[in-house]
Amino acid sequence: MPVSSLMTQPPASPKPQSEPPVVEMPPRKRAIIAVGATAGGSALAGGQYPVIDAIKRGETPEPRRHESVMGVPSVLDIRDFQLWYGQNKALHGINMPIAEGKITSIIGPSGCGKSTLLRSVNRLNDLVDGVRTAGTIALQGEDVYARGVDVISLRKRLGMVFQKPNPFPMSIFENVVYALRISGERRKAVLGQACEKALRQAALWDEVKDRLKGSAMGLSGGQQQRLCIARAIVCEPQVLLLDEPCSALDPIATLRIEELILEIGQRYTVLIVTHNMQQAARVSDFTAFMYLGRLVEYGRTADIFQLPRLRETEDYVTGRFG
Amino acid sequence: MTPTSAASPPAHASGWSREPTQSPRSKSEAGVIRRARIGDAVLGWACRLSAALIALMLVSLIAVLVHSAWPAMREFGVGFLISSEWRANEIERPVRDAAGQLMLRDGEAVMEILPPAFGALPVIWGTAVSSFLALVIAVPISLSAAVFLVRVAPRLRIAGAASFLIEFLAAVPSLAFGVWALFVLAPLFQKYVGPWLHRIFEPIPGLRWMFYESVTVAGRTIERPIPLTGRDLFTGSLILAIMILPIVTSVSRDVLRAVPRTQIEGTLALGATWWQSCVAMLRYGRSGLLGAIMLGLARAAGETMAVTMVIGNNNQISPSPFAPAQTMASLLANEFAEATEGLHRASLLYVALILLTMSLMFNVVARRLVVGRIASSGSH
Ligand SMILES: Nc1ncnc2c1ncn2[C@@H]1O[C@H](COP(=O)(O)OP(=O)(O)OP(=O)(O)O)[C@@H](O)[C@H]1O
Ligand SMILES: [Mg+2]
Repeated sequence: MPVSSLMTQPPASPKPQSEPPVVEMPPRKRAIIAVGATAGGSALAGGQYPVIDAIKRGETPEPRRHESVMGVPSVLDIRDFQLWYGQNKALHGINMPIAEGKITSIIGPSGCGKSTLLRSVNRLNDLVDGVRTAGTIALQGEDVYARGVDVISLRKRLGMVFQKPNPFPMSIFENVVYALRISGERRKAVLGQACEKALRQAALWDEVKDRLKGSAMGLSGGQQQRLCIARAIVCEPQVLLLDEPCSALDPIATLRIEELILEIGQRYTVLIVTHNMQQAARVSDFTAFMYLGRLVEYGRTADIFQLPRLRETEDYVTGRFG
Repeated sequence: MTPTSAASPPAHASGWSREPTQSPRSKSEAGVIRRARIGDAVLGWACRLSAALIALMLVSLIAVLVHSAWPAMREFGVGFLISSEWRANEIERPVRDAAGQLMLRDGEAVMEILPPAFGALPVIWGTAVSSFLALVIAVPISLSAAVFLVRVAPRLRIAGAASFLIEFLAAVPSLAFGVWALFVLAPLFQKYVGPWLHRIFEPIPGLRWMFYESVTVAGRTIERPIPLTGRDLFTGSLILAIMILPIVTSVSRDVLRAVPRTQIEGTLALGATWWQSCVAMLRYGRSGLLGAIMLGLARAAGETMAVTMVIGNNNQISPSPFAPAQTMASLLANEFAEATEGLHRASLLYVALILLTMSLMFNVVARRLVVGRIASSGSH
């Protein structure tokens, strides 16, 4: 387990250090940059990362949220959100607004709670035994964890795509219109139109328009994942949640999905979890860096990659740590 | 696999050789390797022998059955399958004309002698209908129980106990089920359920055949109510349903457990209700579930003891589920010990051969469906 291995690392510096003042740098104009992952320099000596050290001690330091993200109108507002799996606390006081109509990526080492956070938004964690939450996640001002919330209709307002493509064992057409079908839509014309629109938006229409009745299991991995995206956007969700959508795909399919995400980002709010730093840099407008269930730094993607305010973030995005 | 590859597994050997060799221990290690190799060889051959023995048993079973059933096969051919006569002994009866009047000669009825005749249609019918009814009753319950075991029980932390109980049911001897059916189910049906069904369904037009039968008495065909004995096709089907519940449930549970989590989460994330996600899960596992049902069917068709005790044992074809009937297995159980005459015995073995062939077919199809499903869950 990633967490336990981090926990069992040798303790930080023997000389307790007071947190040095963090140099706040002014936000810069946005520019997309490609980040070369400089693998190599592994964990540095303790004391280099005061924030990480504090987190490892179990504290929840105030994250560095850039002013640039706090000002924008948000569709989703995560406020002091905490989550426990039984006795284990997986999320500690997460505060982050998700900008409307933008692409926000969440990065962080394995096991830091990215998927957990994503699955908290559409309450998919409800299925897990022994999950407790505190705080709020407000979707357009309404807390999704408020009492009496209709989880089914909440999930219909959110789309989700998983790490591994999960087409249902039905025809391509039935896959795409599944969300409409379960809402009771029967009209052929409506379903047909919705299917075509979603498939076009998912850049899959031309490849499958002649085999809509064919089984979805016969598509390639990349096509399957685009099908899952089409399926997720058929109801025009307010937020599209993507959990490492490319990690099971080859580089070419990954590129196509990335292009697609950029395009879909023009219409929808997208929240994407990724392990791939370059992907975060390429596709997202905002980036959140998480560590051990805490939000560490959150700002414009360009700022996070070029002018991070924390040394931890800088070293993580350049691959020197994590 | 060739015998040599089993006798000296290369991975095993290289695993040993990769260890740092220490001179004081290497001698005993060599001994361990040699003994392990001999052990592997012995075990390998023992396994092959046992497997061969099982195959041989099946082959000889079929051979013996065909050989003993041969007189009947030669006598009746495939017509055996569609003939509904079953007379173990020759009988004498008065001859009637087309109008049903007795033919008289010199004031006495003319008699004719009917030779023994055998046909399997009534028992094939009885087996088919009782198995089908058993499935109709058992499958919905089994599938619901399987969904419960996979989706609900783990949360309540009773999955283990519930599974144990269901599998325990499979271990109950069929005689116990039979006795229970005879002393509990049959009287219950005779006194309460039967009359109650009678009251409900009889007034419905088109369902009269369920409760009345036409019989020819002294040349006249009359309609009379089927006596409710509680020992009929329906009770037999019910006990069959109870007996196939465990296997259908536990195989379905394994099939549903193999449905990937992402499939269920995928439907839920799109706003499916709990119920809709269960439907999706069943759909994903449909071919495996079909296999589970086929296994249940094979078991229902071959079940003997309990059915013999409650099905009424009447070699007739009646459309009514409330008439006594006979299955292939119950016919064998009833008559085999008394079948001394050659053709009778051969005919019973012919029935046994049909039953064996059917069960084998069901099992083969079922295994293919289930194993294919669990092994390659994900591909379709
Ligand atoms: N169903 C669960 N039950 C108990 N603990 C869980 C469960 N799912 C996740 N966790 C724990 O919660 C923590 C966060 O897990 P999560 O899957 O959110 O991490 P992640 O950031 O998505 O990791 P990855 O990058 O590997 O996908 C981990 O410590 C994990 O062990
Ligand atoms: Mg994850």
